[in-house]
This record gives sequence, structure tokens and C-alpha cells, in this order.
Amino acid sequence: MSFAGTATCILLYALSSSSTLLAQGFDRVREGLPGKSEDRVGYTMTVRLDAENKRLVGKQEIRYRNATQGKTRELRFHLYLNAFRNVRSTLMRESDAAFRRGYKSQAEFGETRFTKLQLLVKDGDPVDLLGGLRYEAPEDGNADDRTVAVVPLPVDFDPGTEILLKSEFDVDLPKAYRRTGWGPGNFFMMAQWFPKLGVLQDADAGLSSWNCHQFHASTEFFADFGSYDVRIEVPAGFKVGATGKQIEEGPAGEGYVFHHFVQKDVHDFAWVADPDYSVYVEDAYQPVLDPKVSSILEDVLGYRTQELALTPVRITYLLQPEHDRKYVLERWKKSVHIALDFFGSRFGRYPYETLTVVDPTRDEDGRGLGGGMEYPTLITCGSPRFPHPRQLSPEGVTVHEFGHQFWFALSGNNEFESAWLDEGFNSWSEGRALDLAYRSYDKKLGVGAPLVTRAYGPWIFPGPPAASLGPLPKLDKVAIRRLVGKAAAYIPWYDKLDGALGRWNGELRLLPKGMPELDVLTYLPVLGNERLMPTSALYGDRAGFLRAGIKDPVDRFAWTYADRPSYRSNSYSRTSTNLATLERFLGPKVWTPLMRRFHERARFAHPKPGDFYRTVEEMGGVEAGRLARDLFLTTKSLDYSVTVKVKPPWGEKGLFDKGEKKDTEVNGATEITVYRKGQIVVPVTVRFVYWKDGAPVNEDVVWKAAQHAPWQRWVVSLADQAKKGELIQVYVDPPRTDLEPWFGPGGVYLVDQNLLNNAWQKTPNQRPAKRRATRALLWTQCLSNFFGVMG
Amino acid sequence: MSESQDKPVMDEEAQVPAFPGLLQALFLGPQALWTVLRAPVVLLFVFFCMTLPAFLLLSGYYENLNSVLAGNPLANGRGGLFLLQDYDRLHPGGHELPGLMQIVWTLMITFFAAGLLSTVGLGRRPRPGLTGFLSESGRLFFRSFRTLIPSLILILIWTGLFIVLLKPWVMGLDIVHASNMRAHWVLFGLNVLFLFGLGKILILRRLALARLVHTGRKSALLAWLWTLRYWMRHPFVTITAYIPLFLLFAGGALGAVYGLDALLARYFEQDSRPAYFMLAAQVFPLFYLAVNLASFLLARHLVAMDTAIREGGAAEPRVVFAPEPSKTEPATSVEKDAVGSGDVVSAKPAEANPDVRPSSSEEALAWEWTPEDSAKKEG
Ligand SMILES: [Zn+2]
Repeated sequence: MSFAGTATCILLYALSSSSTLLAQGFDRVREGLPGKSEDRVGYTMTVRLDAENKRLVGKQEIRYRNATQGKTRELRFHLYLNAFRNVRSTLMRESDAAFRRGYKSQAEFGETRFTKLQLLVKDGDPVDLLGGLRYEAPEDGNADDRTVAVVPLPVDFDPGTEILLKSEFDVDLPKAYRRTGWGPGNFFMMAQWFPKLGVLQDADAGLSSWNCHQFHASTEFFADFGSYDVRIEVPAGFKVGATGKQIEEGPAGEGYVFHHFVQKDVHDFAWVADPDYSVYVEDAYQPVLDPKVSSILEDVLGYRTQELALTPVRITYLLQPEHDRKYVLERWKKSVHIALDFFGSRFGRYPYETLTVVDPTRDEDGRGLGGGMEYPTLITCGSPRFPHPRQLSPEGVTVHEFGHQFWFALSGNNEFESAWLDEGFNSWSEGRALDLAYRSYDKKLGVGAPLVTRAYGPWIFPGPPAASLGPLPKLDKVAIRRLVGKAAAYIPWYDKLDGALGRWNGELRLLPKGMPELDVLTYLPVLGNERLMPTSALYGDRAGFLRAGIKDPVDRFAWTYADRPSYRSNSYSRTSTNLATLERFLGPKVWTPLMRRFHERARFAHPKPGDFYRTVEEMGGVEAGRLARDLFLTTKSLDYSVTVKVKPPWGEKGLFDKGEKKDTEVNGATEITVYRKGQIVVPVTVRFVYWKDGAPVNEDVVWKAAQHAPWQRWVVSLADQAKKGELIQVYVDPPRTDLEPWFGPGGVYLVDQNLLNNAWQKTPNQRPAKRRATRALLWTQCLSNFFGVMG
Repeated sequence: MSESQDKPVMDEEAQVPAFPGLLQALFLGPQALWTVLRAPVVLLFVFFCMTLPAFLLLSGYYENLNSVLAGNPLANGRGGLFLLQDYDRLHPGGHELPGLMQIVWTLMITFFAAGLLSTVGLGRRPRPGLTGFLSESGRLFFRSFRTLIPSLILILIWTGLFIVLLKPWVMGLDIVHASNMRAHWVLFGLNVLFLFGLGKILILRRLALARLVHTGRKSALLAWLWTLRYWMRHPFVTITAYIPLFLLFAGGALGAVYGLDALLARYFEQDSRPAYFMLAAQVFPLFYLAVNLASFLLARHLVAMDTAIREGGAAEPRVVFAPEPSKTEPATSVEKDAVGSGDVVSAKPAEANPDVRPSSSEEALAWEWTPEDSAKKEG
């Protein structure tokens, strides 16, 4: 093939005059929300779903602009459906064995391929590009991975120019174990379904390079913002939901109908189809501003109220028939409204006209196919068969996936390289939104909530929510040894048996797995005597982070974490706990505007981790910036502790000179030592509580970061106590009741590794342990009856 | 046979009950529960034995927890849950609930169930006290244990068959997936089927044990074979008889949970007194235990009636189960030993007992069948 004259085929593109409304990079000085994206890419596609054979046939026209400073001689495409070709793909290798085992037959795998790929030439014949296509695996060199296709260009793709590509592709759909593909019934989830260009970025030596990662087990998103115009053809009777706004629908011949969707300023396009869907539409939900938040934004950032105004959204709900009940629909609606209000108030208006809420199907094992997942203007969020009011499902997943519209769809960070910038920021936001909306509050403080209690059928587990605590209280081995006595030591397999049964017991279920319809039985209301202890997302996040330990810095490429638990902890719960710590460190008056500004600058802008640290520094000060870097860039931990020694009066024995002896002297003392056991150095408050005139009196001292000593000691003599009152309690990092209405219970440093050593009191109180042991006793009794029925 | 040392309550000669109809069967479960509740000493003793290991285990747990939390004012505050989480994570001796206890609990019921069937479930006058109950439990333990084994094996087989074969096969059929709703209802039906199968095995185990106790024989295998034949004879009545017990069990649990939730909320507050809560909440395990024990007694009655019909002669005799007014054991309804029970060792001729009809309102609550009630005899 001759490439003569192809230089002219690259369409020249005149860059539009720069406008403050455009965004592609994080803008460090931006104030206010950008109106639209830079629109580097455009996809015009037609796709037909052959439901019977579980196939897609598609055509696409892609417009792509080289907005970098350098040129390139190749294109890179994501062909993500190929991750489901066989068990050798990188996604399959990185997934756990159980996931691979889940594939039961050949028909459950799938793949995609170009059947045509051409570069369009102005006034000339299109140039075929398919001949040069090859697969590459830039991250792991896996020769079996076909999720990245490299296509050489016959000519340079110069900066500032635009190319037009035309392609045809077909797809054999896999079973939707990981979101994309088909499910039982006639459910089709179309995510990562079309050939999609990577992101051309500036690199060295006048050449630009493609940021185009393989499909990994845990991350999958990074693309340029652009425009999508997609015509979807499905068999008549199928209901369709998709990214963007439907502008047209009608017959497409051969028993098919078409749905035409368009959307600007997004970086992905997903759709679903299922004839069984019940469709509900809310024409225009008007999100409501949180006045507390608005007033801070007005005060600190100088906003006028009308600048904060939110715009109405058309919301479509696609419900599986088993969820087509008013009660369930109302729960979905309420959670979407809460999310639109919360995120809009804090981070700026949701700029798209539509939102599609999809209830994915489940397979026979109860696995939600499609799971909870985010795509621009389309979210999937499943519900149990009979959602229990205290279960916060579907609410939790709905608020989470909606949150991704802000921390993913609008911010468009590179998920492969910093998953925590979307998952972690979103986990933190989701937790706060749920806490504010769904936990019922103590009238006095505005906090406090009933605990959700996990139960096993009629056998009640009188404990805190399963999400934040293991299902079983841990018993003490010493106590068991005491009970079983030495006998156990003579049974060689005792430990083994005990361990095995214990593990099984750890997830004891009356029903084997895969009976989702009966899951509702496992949620019964409170049977606990810690009822008014508030449930908060903080508990689950902190526990998840600390359980996983610190193996990596948070700020790391997602596929390079030590293991999957480390990926999960760092990307979700640790980031969330870190952000909760920062927000408590700075308080609502600094934190709220800080996060607002960060989102404004990140909107349509692919933010990077450094952008966040700098924003914290700029708006929260040097100390907060240092803390943020410690929390996200290092493996340093934080742990303050306090030990107290009470020294009784030692009297006046011994030899004294005349006048040395004072009969009146009171010489006993209390010694308080605060230790800094972690490597993170931050100022911390030490609180001394004195009992004076029948009431506690607090005295707070700040142990400054500048004092880099590993410990600090205070001595409170009996003489002092005679004046101030008896010293009854000491706290390091005491509870911040002033922050509770905003952020929930706790001190400042939720990242503290061990709160058991953070306080001391003179008079022991056995009730907390008794309450807890009572719950455990009841649970154990219920368990005894379970085995009694077997007996 | 040691049973001969007790004086069994005898019926009118040649009177054998007709097997109850479906409607009557509905009342058998609640009546069995009532019988258990009227033997409070036995019930409380079993309850005490089941609770003691839990209590001992938890006392160690409490001591350790208390040593960490008692001196920390945060534990009683609003963020106290953080501390519990840290305790669970950091306590070095942390250990899951010992598996051994699960076996102990299973065996405990295996032990007590036989004694219960032999004393509370069998009309005796005078009724043996706690010592008698224990000695009967001990005497019959190995028989009870032998009838347990087939049921454990059956549970394993049923669960395995269900999860490995049945469910995947059914859910793999194309016709099931014609629509989402159909797939869901098929799945739902399968789950109900699984629970039903599990329940059936538990009922069969109770019937087999009751048969052994009732006849005084020793072969668990024969008892199981007899039980399987029994099931062929009376499947619907037996299921019907157990449904109210199951509903009482589930409904009682739900009601109690919601009730306690509302009533005791104020005791759950911070710094509340856990002792009140603990005492009040004992209603749950006690109720579960009573229903479980009643499920054994129910089996005992079904077996007694069937045995009387099949092995006690073809006539239409009449057996009345009624409380025996007795000064030593006033609070329990009593069941007659059926005529010609086939107990080879203690085969005593049945004697007439003219004094069987209940005469007080209290006794009217007890078990009673008359031929008129038994009109709808199962074919
Ligand atoms: Zn997420």
C-alpha cells in the first residue's frame, strides 16, 4: 500500500481560542466550575445486539485531536472485552482463583475484534490500518493479554491536528461475572464494549505517548473527555438505558428497534438492555442545597447564593421485575435524591441532564451481575430481594455509585495510576452522605444512631453491624484453655478442629450461600444494649484500614500494591480514613471550601495526587499539607498513647535540717506520660479532667509537633489537685464533640493505630465490658440452640 | 427393662386412638410446647446446662475485655465502638468461639432429648424427678446418639446433593431463564425445597428416637427404617403437625425481638445496667429451647399413636392423653403408654384407667382425643 500523499490526509485542526471554560488539566488557580470539557475525542457509533446469539456488531467513527506538544506514529486502543477471552488474560490472572473457577463453560467467555479499521482521508480513499494491528501488554508483558491493541499510523499524527477513523467490530459477549456481558433472563450489561482510544499525553523528545493500560483486575478507567453519539439497535421489546440523553427511537427493521443517545463532556459510554425491566422516570428532580454548607462556601470562598444553585435532573430507574415494588423504588429514589443534594451542595452542581439508575440482575448463586458500578450518567446498584430497612441496601451502593459521578465521571483521574483519587474520595463522601441522611440522631448533639444487628435466621446475633465488626466476638484463648482445661492439650487435633470449626463458625449461616431471597432473615432490629452508640461509616472504614495493615503507601499505581487486600484498603478504607482525619484536623470551615475548590479544579481535568496535596497545603496550611503527604505518600503510622502512674504520698521520713520539714506538705503526685509511638508527628491535645465542686473541669494542653521527643511527661502533684480538683481522667486526642454533628464521633486522628491506650480514668468502670460480654453471651446461647436443633 | 419399675398409666383396654386428621394435627405442636412448659424443672435444668458453658467461656472473655476497657473513659463514650474494634483486632489471645463447644451442645440435646421423651413425654406415676430424668437421659444416651448419626449423614448428603447437583442442574435449564421472574421464583422454590428437606431430616430423627424410646428397643437402624415407613403412611399429618411449631418458633422469635427492641430500649443506653438486659433477654434462648424440646415430644406422640394403631390391634380403641392429677408432679400433662407398644421386655397388659377424662379447666388444656375428633382418619 502506498502512503504517498497521506500527509495531507491528516485534517488540520485550528485550536479554538483558549477559554476559561475549557479544562483538560488540573487548573491550580481556577475558581468556579468549568462549564464544559476540552472535548478531545468524539465517538459516533451504531451497534446492534443479537440477543439470541449473545453478540454485538458495531460500527464507529472516531474523531481524535492531538492536544499534546508532540507527535506520534501510532494509535492505541483498549479492547477490554478480550479480558474475557480465556483464563490467561491479565484480568483473569490477577483475579482470585474462585473468580476463574466461576466460569462454567466455553459459552461464558467472550471476545472482541476489529473487522475493519481505516484512517479517513480528505478527498481520497480511506487507508487501511488493520494490517498493522498488534497486541501489547505494557504492564506485565503477558503475551496472552489482548486488551491493548497497537496500530501504527502511516504518517505522523502532529500536535494540534485531528484525525478521523472508521471501524467495524464485533463482539461475542461473555457472561457478566465482572459487569460486562449477559446474565440470566435476557439481561445485557454493555460496559467496556467498544474499541476505545487511550489517552495521548505529553512525553519527552517531541514525541507524545499513549497512556493505555491493560484491563486489570481492579482498575479500568482512564480516557479523554469527549462527545458520544450512539445508536443502539436491540430486538423489539427490549428496554434500554444508556449514558446520556435519548433523543430518538424507532423501528430499525428485521424486528429491531433503535435508541439514539447523545452526551457531551463524558469519558465513557455504557448501556444496558433487558426486556423485563420496569421503567420509572422522574422528569425533573430539583436537588436541594445544604444551607450549612452553602453558608460556609459563601463566607470563605465568596460565592453568591445563585452561583451555588443546582439544576434539575431527569432520573430513569430500570428495575428488575422482582424489585418492581413501590417500597423498593421509593428507597432508591430517596437515596439518589440524598446523593444529588449532598454532592451538589458540597462539590458543585451535577452538570448532566440525565441519570440512569440500573438494577442489575443476579445469577443463580446470588451474585449481582453488573454489581454496583459507575459509568458517566449511568450507575448500577443492586438491591437484595427484600431489602430490610436497617440494612442500608440499596442505599449504600446507590450513594456510592452516584458519588462516582463526581469522583470519576467529572474528575476523570487516571484510575489505573491513582485509584484512591476516585474510590477513596468517593468512599469518604459516601460515608458522610449516608451518616448524615440515614443515621438517626441524638437530639442534644445531633448524633447517635441505632445499631444494625446481624442475626442468623431466628438466631439472633446481638452485636453491632456485621459490616464493621466480625460476626463473632473473639474469645480469649486463655479462657478457653482454662475451661477445657489441660484435656485439650492432650487432644492432638484439638487446635486444628477448633480452627476449622471456628472459621466455619465465623460465617455461620443457617442457609448455604446463594440464597439471596432469604438474606432478609439475617437482618433483624437491634438486640443490643449499645443501642445509642452511633453507627457511622467511620467505624467500617477505620476497621478495614487497620485490619489490612500498612503494606504500601496509598499513592501508588493500582496494580503494584503488595496484594489485593492492600489495594482494597489503600484505595478505599485507608484513603477514606485519611480524609476523615484531615477533615477533623482542619474542621468544617476549612475542609468544606478546600474540597470544593479541589473538585472545581479537578472537574473535566484529570487530577493527579500532587494536585490534592498542593490544594491541602494552599488552603489548609503547611502542617495539613505535611500531614496529607505523610498519610498518602508514606507507610508511616500514627499512634499516641498515655500511661498514668499514681504515686501515693511518701510522707516525711528521714533526716532533715531545721526548718526543712514542713508538716503541712502534701507530696503525692500523678505522673502522666504521653508517648508518640508512630512515625507521624503532629500536634496532639492532651486533656486533664479534674473533679471540682461536683463537676468535671477540662484542661487541654497541646503537645506540639515541634517537640519531636518520643514522649512527654506531666506531673500533677497532690498540691495541684488540692487547688484544681482531683484528677479523674486523662485523654490524648480527646473526643471532639464539637465536630460530631459534622463528622461523627472520635478524636482528630482516626488513623490512630490503637485507641485502647488513648485515655485513662481513676475509677474503673466495668459496664462497657459487661455490655459487650452480655451480647456475646446471648449470641453464644443462640448458637447453642442452633446446635440443639441439630442434636 | 427398667421401665417396668415405674408404674405406667394404663388405658381402657383395647382402646387405640385413630391417627389424627390434618385439622387436629395443627394443635399437636402447641400442645407439646405446653407440655414442655409444664415441666419447668426439666426445662430450666436443660437451659442451665446449655447456658453454663457459654457463661464460663464468656466470663474469661469478659475478664480480658474488662482489663482493657475498665480504665478507659473512651469505652463508655460515643466512640466506644472504636475501642471494641481495636480490642478484637489487637487482643493477642483472640480466638474464635471454640468449635468443641458446638459439638458439646449438639450432644447435650442428644442426651437430654431421650430423657425428656422417656419422662415428660411418657405418662408415669409418680413421674421421676430430676434424678429420674437424668438417669433416663443417661440410660438412653447411646440410643439417642445412634439415631443422631443417620440424620447428620443425611443432612450432609442432602446439602451436598442440593448444592452440587440439584440446584446447578435446575438453574442451568434454559426454560428456567425464559424470564427474570421465572428464574427468581424457581430459585426461591429451590430454597424452600432445601429448607423443607432439612426440616424433614430433623423430623425423621425425632421420630426415630421417639420410636426407640417408645418401644424400648435398641436398634437405631430399625428405628430409622420404621420411621421411613411411618413417613410413607402419614406424610401430610406429620408435616402439618410440625408447621405450627415452626411458626411459633419463627414468629415467636420475631415477636420477641421486636418486642424487646421496643420495651428494653432504655436499658441499652450508655452507662445502662447490663444485668437487666441480660436477664430479660434470656427469654429468647429459653423459648428456643422449649420449642426444640417440644418438637421431640410431638414426635413421641405421633409415634405412640401410630404404634398403637399398627401394633396394638385393629380395633378402634380409644386412648385419651390427659394429665394425671398427681401430688408429686402436679404441673405436667401426662401421656399414656400406648397399649401393646411392642416393647418386648416390658410388655405389660394394658389396664383400664377410668379416670382419664380431664375434669378441671386446667386439665382441659391438655391433650385429648376422642373418637369423634378422630373422624377424619388419614387413609
Ligand atoms: Zn467505587
